[in-house]
Amino acid sequence: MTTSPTGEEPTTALVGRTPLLEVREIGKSFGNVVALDDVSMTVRPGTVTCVLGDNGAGKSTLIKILAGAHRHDRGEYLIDGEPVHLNHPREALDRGIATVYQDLALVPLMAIWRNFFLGSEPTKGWGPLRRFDVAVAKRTTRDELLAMGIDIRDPEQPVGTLSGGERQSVAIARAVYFGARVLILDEPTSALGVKQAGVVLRYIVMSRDRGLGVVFITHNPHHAYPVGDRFLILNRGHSLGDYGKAEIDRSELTRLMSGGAELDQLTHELERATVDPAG
Amino acid sequence: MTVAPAAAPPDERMVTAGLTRRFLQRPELGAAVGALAVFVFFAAITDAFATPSGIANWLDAAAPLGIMAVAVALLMIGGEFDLSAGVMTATAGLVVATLATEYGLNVWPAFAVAIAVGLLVGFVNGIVVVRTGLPSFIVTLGMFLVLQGLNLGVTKVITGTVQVGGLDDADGYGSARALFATTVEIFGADVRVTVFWWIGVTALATYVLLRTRPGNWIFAVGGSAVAARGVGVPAARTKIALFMMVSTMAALVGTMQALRLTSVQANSGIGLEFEFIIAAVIGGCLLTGGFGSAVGAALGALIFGMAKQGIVFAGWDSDWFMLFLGLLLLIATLLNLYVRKRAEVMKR
Amino acid sequence: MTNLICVIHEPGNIGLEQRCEGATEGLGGTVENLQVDINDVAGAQTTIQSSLQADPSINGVLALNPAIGVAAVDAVAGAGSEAQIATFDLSGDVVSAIEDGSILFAVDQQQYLQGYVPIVLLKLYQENNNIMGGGLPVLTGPGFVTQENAATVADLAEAGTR
Repeated sequence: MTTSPTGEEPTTALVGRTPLLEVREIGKSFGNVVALDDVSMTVRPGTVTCVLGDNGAGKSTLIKILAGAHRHDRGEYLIDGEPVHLNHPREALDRGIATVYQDLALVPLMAIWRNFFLGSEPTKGWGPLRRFDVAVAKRTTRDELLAMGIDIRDPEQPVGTLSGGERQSVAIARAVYFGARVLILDEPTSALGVKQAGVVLRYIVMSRDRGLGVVFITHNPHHAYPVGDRFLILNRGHSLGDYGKAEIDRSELTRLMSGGAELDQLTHELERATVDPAG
Repeated sequence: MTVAPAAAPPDERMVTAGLTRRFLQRPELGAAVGALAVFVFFAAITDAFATPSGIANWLDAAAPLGIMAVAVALLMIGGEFDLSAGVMTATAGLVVATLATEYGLNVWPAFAVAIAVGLLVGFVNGIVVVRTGLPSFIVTLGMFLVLQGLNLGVTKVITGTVQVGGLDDADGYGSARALFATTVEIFGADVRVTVFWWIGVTALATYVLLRTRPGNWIFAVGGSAVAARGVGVPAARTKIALFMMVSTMAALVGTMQALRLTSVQANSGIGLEFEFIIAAVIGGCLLTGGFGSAVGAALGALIFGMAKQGIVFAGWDSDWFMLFLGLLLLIATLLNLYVRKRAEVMKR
Repeated sequence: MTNLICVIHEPGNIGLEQRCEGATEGLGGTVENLQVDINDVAGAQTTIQSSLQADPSINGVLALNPAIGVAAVDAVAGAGSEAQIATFDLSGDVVSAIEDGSILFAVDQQQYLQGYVPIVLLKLYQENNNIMGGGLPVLTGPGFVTQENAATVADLAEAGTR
């Protein structure tokens, strides 16, 4: 395995040490609207934590708090065991928390290697002669993507010509390369077909195996279940539970996600409605 | 590009297709082909077009347009327009001429003031676009009108007429002219110094675009400002810097023209801003930003200069000049589009 | 003077077109119109120079504007041509050029008079019912400025009143 540029040793099987990320009874309100209330979750290195819930469940508010784009109003947010209040995404990034949003922060018209190093370009020379080290950039891009299992023969390709899954993998590989310890993925498989989604899930597993803590946000339990180690289900800003893989099965997960008890009641009402007119 | 060993085409074919495709994908290709075509055409149908003095002539016509086209191209790659660039050249020329002739300032400090004015105008353009989020088309259009009014109004107030002349009597004129406006004899033809400035500016712009960090940021900010900001690129500062660069280049070109003609008309420069944009677009710049090249814009300006003078050399009725120019530009741009469409391979 | 180019600096301007037509009728030789743009004087200079280079038989350039007239001087020099130059209207630079012989003459329509005289005539008509010229047009020019009389108008042209 290659080491990340921050020089940290890769970590595996570190369950039991301080969690990388932890939120305890965290809450956030926007004016009168309670977006998130009493949510708790831990992220450990080498594990995948899935955050599930339908639209409006509060998933995006949670990620934004983790990523440093929002400040939480209640509860605690701990990084490496220490409580923090983040004011800017840059602060999260500096602590090794990388977020891959749905727009991927990739520029479609630019080549893969340019995108890979955007904002953190390697340079050689100094003063006015400081220039972009293109050779290093191209080589590193090829190598890092190869380490994730992707072989690009032509790093000059504009990112826009890649498929959705390939673009996700470039975004993930970039986050991993720049020393992310926690990788937060916002609905990476939502816009993808089955095969492409499979490809992305493979990269998630690869990142986990490199020792990162992955937070995988999705509304699809069939994508979440195969790769997740822990599952947090949100519904209308509240937590419906935080389960380990051993504690829950796929159908129970689906049931909880789609409203659980509510859905049971709704089904019951529908049955009665269809029976009555015939009776 | 897959993880699982899917049915991928053999390596060798990918490599050769990749190289040819990459060559065809270069934004300058259309402009290069166009320039060659225009040159061959006019060289064939006229006598004087391809002689050293003829070449010096259309290079002279292309050079000031070329310097500005490169500057404007960089701004367009960064995703913005500057409609005040044309009038800015006149503003700078008027500043230099007025300070030197009406207030007795040496040409060199007057030039420094013109550069400062350029930096200021560019800064205002940039900060208004970035802070308000208004389209740069509108913001710089406003600046265009402001400068147009100032050019005329201030000149009237200070000199009483609509032009400022007599620059050749000012101190420092000789040395300034030697650097910015004189001619150099090459192969028996008088080549104007602006041509060398043009080549230098193009080389510098290409280097910055392709081989420096700010160059990467320019492409990113034009391609997707949101994505760029997401990875920590200073989008606002990059755009403001680009606007300042364009206005300052305009100040340089305006000074060059003033030194060459020794007088400046208060209403000059109007209409030039579209020529800059057209040259940049011929050179492969997308109107939506994120793609283009400095060399391409330089070639676009070259096509412009060749066409303009070629029509005169060919002795065609100059009443039809605008029509010829328009057709020529349309053909060049369509050729560009065709070449790039052929080169693009969209994967699903 | 057998081959003249008449430089029109504002396309579509009837007055300029008519001046060139007049030149054609009066000259008796060939007159070609050349389009340039007054907003781009440097470009105009290059265009005039190209024209002279393309056809060495041109021996006259008629400009219709002082800035173009001055540009024509550089164009003729740049093309190594022997063509003679005349222009309409004055400026400080045009008068200097006439004095040193690079421009043959300028046709001054005396714009100052065009503004001044009508006001005087109106006042006289108003107060004294005078009508000048017997009902016929009162011309303000042409005032020809040549090498002989250039010195007398030099300062006035600089100030903008001539």
